[in-house]
Amino acid sequence: MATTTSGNSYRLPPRTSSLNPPLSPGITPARQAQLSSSSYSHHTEDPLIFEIGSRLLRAGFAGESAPRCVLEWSNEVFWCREGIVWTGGASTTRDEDGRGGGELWRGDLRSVELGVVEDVVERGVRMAYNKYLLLDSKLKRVMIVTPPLLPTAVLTSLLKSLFVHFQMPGIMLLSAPTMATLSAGTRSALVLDLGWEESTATAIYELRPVGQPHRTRRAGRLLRDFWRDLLLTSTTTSSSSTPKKPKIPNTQLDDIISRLAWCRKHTHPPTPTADDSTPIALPHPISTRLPFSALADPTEKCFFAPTTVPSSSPDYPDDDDLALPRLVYEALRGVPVDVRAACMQRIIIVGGASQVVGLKRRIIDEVRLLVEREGWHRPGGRRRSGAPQPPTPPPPPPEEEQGGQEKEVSYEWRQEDRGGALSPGSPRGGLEKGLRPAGTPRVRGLESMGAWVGASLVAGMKGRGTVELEREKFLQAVAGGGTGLPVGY
Amino acid sequence: MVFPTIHISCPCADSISITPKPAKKKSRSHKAAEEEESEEEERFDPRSARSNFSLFPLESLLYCEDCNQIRCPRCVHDEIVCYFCPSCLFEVPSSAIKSDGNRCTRNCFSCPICFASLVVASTRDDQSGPYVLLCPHCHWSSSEIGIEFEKPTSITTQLAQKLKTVSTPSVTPAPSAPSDSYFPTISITPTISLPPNDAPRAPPTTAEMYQRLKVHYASQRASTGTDEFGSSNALSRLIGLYSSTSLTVGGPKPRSFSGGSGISKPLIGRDRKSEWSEMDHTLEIQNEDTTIAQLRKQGFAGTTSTAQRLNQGVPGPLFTQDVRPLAVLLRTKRSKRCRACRHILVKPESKVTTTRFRIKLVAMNYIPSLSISRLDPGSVSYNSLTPLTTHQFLLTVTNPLFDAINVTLATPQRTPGRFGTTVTILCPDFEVGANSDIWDEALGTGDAATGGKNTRKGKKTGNTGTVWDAGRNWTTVVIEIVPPLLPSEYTTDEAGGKDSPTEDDYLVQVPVSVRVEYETDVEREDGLGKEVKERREHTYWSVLGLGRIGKFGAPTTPLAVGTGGPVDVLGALGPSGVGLGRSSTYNVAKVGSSPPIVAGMVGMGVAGGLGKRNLK
Ligand SMILES: [Zn+2]
Ligand SMILES: [Zn+2]
Ligand SMILES: [Zn+2]
Ligand SMILES: [Zn+2]
Repeated sequence: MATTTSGNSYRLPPRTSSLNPPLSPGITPARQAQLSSSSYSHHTEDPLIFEIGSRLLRAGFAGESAPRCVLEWSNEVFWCREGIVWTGGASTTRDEDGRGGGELWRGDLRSVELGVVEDVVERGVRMAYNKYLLLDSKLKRVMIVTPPLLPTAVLTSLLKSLFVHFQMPGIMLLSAPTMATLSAGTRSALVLDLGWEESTATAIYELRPVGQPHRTRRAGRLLRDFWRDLLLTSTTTSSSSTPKKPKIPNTQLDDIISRLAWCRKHTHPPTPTADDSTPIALPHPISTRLPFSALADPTEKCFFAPTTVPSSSPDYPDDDDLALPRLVYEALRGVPVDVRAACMQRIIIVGGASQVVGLKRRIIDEVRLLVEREGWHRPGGRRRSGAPQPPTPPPPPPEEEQGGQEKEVSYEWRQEDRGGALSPGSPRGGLEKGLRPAGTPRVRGLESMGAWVGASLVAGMKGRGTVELEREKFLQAVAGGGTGLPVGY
Repeated sequence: MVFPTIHISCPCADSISITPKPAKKKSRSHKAAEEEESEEEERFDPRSARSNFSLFPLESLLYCEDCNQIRCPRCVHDEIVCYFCPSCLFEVPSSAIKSDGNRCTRNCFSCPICFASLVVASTRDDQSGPYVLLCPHCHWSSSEIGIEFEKPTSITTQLAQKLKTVSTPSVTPAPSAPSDSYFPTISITPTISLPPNDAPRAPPTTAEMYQRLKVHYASQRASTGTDEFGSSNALSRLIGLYSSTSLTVGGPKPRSFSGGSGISKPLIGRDRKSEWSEMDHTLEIQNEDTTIAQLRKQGFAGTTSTAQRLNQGVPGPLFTQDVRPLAVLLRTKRSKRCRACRHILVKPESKVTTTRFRIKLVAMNYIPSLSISRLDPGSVSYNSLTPLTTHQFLLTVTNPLFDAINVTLATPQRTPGRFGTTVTILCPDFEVGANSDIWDEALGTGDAATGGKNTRKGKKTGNTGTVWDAGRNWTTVVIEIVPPLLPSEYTTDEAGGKDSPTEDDYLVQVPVSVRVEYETDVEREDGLGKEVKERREHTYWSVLGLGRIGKFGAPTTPLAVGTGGPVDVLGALGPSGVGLGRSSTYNVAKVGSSPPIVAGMVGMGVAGGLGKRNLK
């Protein structure tokens, strides 16, 4: 198969006719070895799963509990010219001022060279193949898991790179929020994905996304910016004699955040945190000590403060970039009531920044508080239940509503949810009592094993996807100027 | 960065790329494509964003004789010949590698801190037990995580047992799930450090949790049955859901829940009995107070670096006290085939312990190699080329072929980029002798005659149109550059914005097109008659990294110092040229506005001035 396949898509520049130069005599017969298709090995049958995000590549075999490797796109070897140590950030797409950088693509496609995305993906996947999966160029079934709101042009580039360089006959596409829901052991959830450029909240109902994801720029990159500010201000105050601030490389900053970032517990009403002044030493070139409590400040500013920009009215919230609890709340409020009922007690938090210690629990606690305090009514309007719904989103067609309700009967509500019990310590003023109809489930967070594992489970069940792209068709479509993706992407 | 660098561009990026170029016809005939290619061969921009991915050192390149083309790591296909452990060099049968996590099951472990190989060491002076795994590099020891061994052998087995029973706070016992055994103890919440006795139930490990899910979905699948297509209704429903916009393929679909027919009717409405239920033991998000307390106690030094964490598997431990020695990853020996014609280019010996190859068609044996040295005196570093000054390099072309070759070098007069460097190759067209047997030369037979001629040809005059020097199978020519003056040198304004040069602008990267032509004897394949002469040619792009532009008028005055340096160049430039090189109070704005003229003068000066030079 291979010869014809590669011939179609891979053209060589015309050269002089091929005859053997006088070198290396006697090897010609040996080169006429058999084609590789004869040597399908034992694990050819397992699909490979790649979860490709703008910061990380997770790669492994279907049916396993974890990917075999997690590679960071910020790794210099994916970007630099082979054979030299490229000390400057030259010839890469990174920002030189340190804001941004280390990501495979950006939401702003004007600053993305899609060809470079293809090239870097090739290097990443090749490293996974050669170093961790120990695979060669044999045909593989592949599933890829992509984040919500991935730009179509980037998706096309990712697929192109895989099809062209790794000869995959077909690629199945899976969406990260759905897979994260699956790997939490449930069918419906509100999936909050704390991504790199933006965080998204996607309602998943019966393993199907409902409506558009809600988004905010309060995500990994903004967190890093706050951390940089924290570290730079701390170094200036500690040694005011040296006017020049140390330059902190992005990779080092990422490392520090992954080790030290934490999140305070929710307190209600907000009280100044117990001053935890345990000094924490930071490495060179920051070389300073910060009180432990300060290490939670960037988390606070990035994900919970009403606004993330310097403002004369710091309590006035950002319009576009909602704080995370508010984002989750709005996402829940934007879906039909039965979907909401299913999702609010299954909030899943995934993504890079979800690793910040204590962050997940804090978000859940605050969402719970918002729901307690505000119910589901709209400002100036009546309560959601029974009231005509605002234009976005319009109510689902009646038959659908019905279907959902019928289902709800068959749905295994968890026992404690039925009673509307609150977790101990949740504030619950008398005011809110009337807002909670009996039987309304409580707000609850669910641990998920993540999107990669979800895909692993799907593959383990021998599922065949309906969104499966074939190599030849895809490449032809792309060569013709299309996206190669089915209508609707 | 170390200079000089020499890279060769593999053209496969052009031929692989199927991105339609804007303003070109969407579907084009092969001929049109070929024409385009030849157009593109006229220029090459080493600064373009993608060039990093097509440029390779010559040593990394292979050569396909059938395609007459260099092959880079991207345009070959790999085939695994064997798997082996790089530490103990044992070959591992392919049937075993995957279940062992592609890791060695003998006694080979790598350090969780610095990734070096661990050794088994005794804890006593008399070399008796207990034993530990010790890192000879950073001195990490398995005793730091409470693991010691009774005997110095069968470490893998012992370690697996220890990890089951070890009671460091944050580690919970793992079930023995065969396919997951290579990350046996990484728990799903490795950072929750509950004292074992206080916790009613330890959080499940990754493997446990996964097993639960797997069992759950297997039972779901069994109970929901299959549809007429042989797959579970619910399952096909579940996978059909790519994209954030509620997409189902193969029919009119809603872009959102509310956008049309809503949740796809046939799927939800149908066959209610086959609905899936939720898993019984979903895991609620816990508070992480104990981890936070631990973090406060451990500080930065007690946490794992990103590299260490990723190396430990998924999810990696936050604290260094929870790391584990990991079995060494296996490696492979690979054959490589040309991706276009499938011919084999590399075939290693299958025995692990030999490093020999049965076939290895390296590009070095087929295309001439380039090398660079400085002709200027050594006082100027490659890392600080003086702007607006002529720098001379010797470019040596070495021929690996048994036939003499004609080489034509071409380079743009000005390198691509906002701040181009002026480039001149004094003798772009020359012959390089055959790589004849060195004994032939000594005995005065065969091709040696040609070689002798070549040697005589090199007079080290540096005249335009003549080679600098030549030997048996090599020829050296002079390449001159005049680096530009970068704006930051004369703008005091730090906020120069877009005009301020990037790190890239400081690097002098010269694209050189190398065209090789030669005639060779070809044995006729029918075995009849005499040998036939065949004319061959190929062209490739090379990129010479000649250095980094330094400060203008830097203390190390480049040209006037040193003996035998191209002093004549300065002379030819005249007084203004000298002033250029020395004066720090020079009116720089003027220079900045007219560098091409200065460069032109330098070029002229060199042509005339170098003629007088005579080394020894
Ligand atoms: Zn190539
Ligand atoms: Zn070994
Ligand atoms: Zn070590
Ligand atoms: Zn070939």
